[in-house]
Amino acid sequence: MADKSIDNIFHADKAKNSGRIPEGFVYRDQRKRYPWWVKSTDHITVETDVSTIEKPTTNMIIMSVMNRMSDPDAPSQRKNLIKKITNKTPGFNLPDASLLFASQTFWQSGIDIDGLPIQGYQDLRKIIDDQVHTPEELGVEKWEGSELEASAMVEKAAIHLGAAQVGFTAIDLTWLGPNVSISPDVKEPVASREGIRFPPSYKYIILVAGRVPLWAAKCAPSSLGSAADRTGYEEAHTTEEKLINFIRGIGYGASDIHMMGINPIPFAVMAGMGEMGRMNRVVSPLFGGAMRFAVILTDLPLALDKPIDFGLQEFCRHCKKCAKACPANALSYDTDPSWEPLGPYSFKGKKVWYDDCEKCGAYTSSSGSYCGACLASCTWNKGNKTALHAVTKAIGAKIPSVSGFLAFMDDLFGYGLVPEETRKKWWGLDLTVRGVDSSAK
Amino acid sequence: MRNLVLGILVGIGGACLYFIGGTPAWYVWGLYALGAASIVFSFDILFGSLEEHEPRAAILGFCMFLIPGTLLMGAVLKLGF
Ligand code: SF4
Ligand code: SF4
Repeated sequence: MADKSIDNIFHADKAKNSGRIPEGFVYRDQRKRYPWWVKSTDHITVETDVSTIEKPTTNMIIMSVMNRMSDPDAPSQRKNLIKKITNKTPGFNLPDASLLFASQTFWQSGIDIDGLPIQGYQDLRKIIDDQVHTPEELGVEKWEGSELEASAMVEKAAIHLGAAQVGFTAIDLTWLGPNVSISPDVKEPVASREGIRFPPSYKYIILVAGRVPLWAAKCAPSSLGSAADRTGYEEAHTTEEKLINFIRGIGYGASDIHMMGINPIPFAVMAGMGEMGRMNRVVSPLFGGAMRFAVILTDLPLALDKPIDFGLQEFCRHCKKCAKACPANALSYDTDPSWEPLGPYSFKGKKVWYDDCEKCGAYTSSSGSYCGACLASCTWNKGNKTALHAVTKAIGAKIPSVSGFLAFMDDLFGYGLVPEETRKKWWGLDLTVRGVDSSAK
Repeated sequence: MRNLVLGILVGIGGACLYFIGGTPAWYVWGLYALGAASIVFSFDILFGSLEEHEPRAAILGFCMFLIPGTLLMGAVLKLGF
């Protein structure tokens, strides 16, 4: 077995440049993960500098909950939603709103329609726990195998349970929120008012991706668009809960970590699920922005994945389609990324196109729905019914400097957000199951 | 199914060029291959984009590849027969 001492795991505290793959781990063969135009790398494609890192002191979700609690009359999703339903705003009709709430039946986690905290899927944990039958309970030996065997098995289980894709990486303290710490005193991750503590043995992170149904997503920003967004989250999180049960069932520890503790984005990038795009979110070469992540922390030794490079850093310099789609003007139009965050909620120490979280949050909490227009408009969001997309993606990855032209053609071909008056067309479409094609790879 | 039909049509076109067209120069075969690929691609975009509920992409992509494909086939007819 490879050396996985604590020093190696939390390498980023000492390294000058976090974002490099940690040493002392076993890595999976990356060749089968993606088409030929996606390369594996040993460092994420975003420049990082640990010496300038500064963690945000608070979290935007916590702030918006506190604002709401201190001012119950503040504009809320509920008030704006009712106004939009009454005005018959396209994408905000009663069936659209009802579809949104139904789409997050099990997941809703964060702030509710009134701007107050809610953690839906965590309340389900008790029922979900009843389905775990550990080796101890059954009186059998726990599963043993190599890291490579474990990763292959977990990946198969995850796909069976509903994941669109999985990725494996190691925990890196650099990118954890200020309220997360390692503690030898706990046997499994514990969340309390003081923060989240997890034991040193929980070194491995599993990223679970859920697909977002594209056509409905393109109706953002609206209730209908948000129904698609929530479908992606719900799929990722319900699959995550089932996968946790699977891992416990073979005799290892596994835990979900609420989004406030671990933001999946840096780990998704480390696990090669995508690159950081202009929208300051992950863009996948396969699914564009039409995927959502859930995170599992586990002590099951796994073979890790490497970051990827499909030319997105150059592509995003000229594309700017997401920035144009943002109704809150929260995304950067600068050609080059920057080291300077735009507000108090972002990590310093990485060179990205920062988004203005405050503008995004303010828009989202007053719009009557969630948003996700940036994710839904990305040039890399494509179906798989025509070879055109495979050709243009290969061109975009290999000659990313032509992205301005590709974005222009994308608009000309009518891809991107659906015009407001066309949103209701979704209810008449001949849809695939869940609005996605599960063979899309 | 559509790929099968398109494949059969391309095969019939090639057979005509070979048996009826005498001995076309090598570049005529090149033009035929490009023209056939362009036409097949145009139909792939048309039907694929309609399945994706992207009618504008379907029409534009279809025209964008069908027109040059047809012109190339016209050149093949002129030079190869
Ligand atoms: S979610 Fe909406 S408001 Fe926020 S950055 Fe994306 S497009 Fe802008
Ligand atoms: S829409 Fe364009 S600029 Fe924005 S993330 Fe996607 S590829 Fe990058």
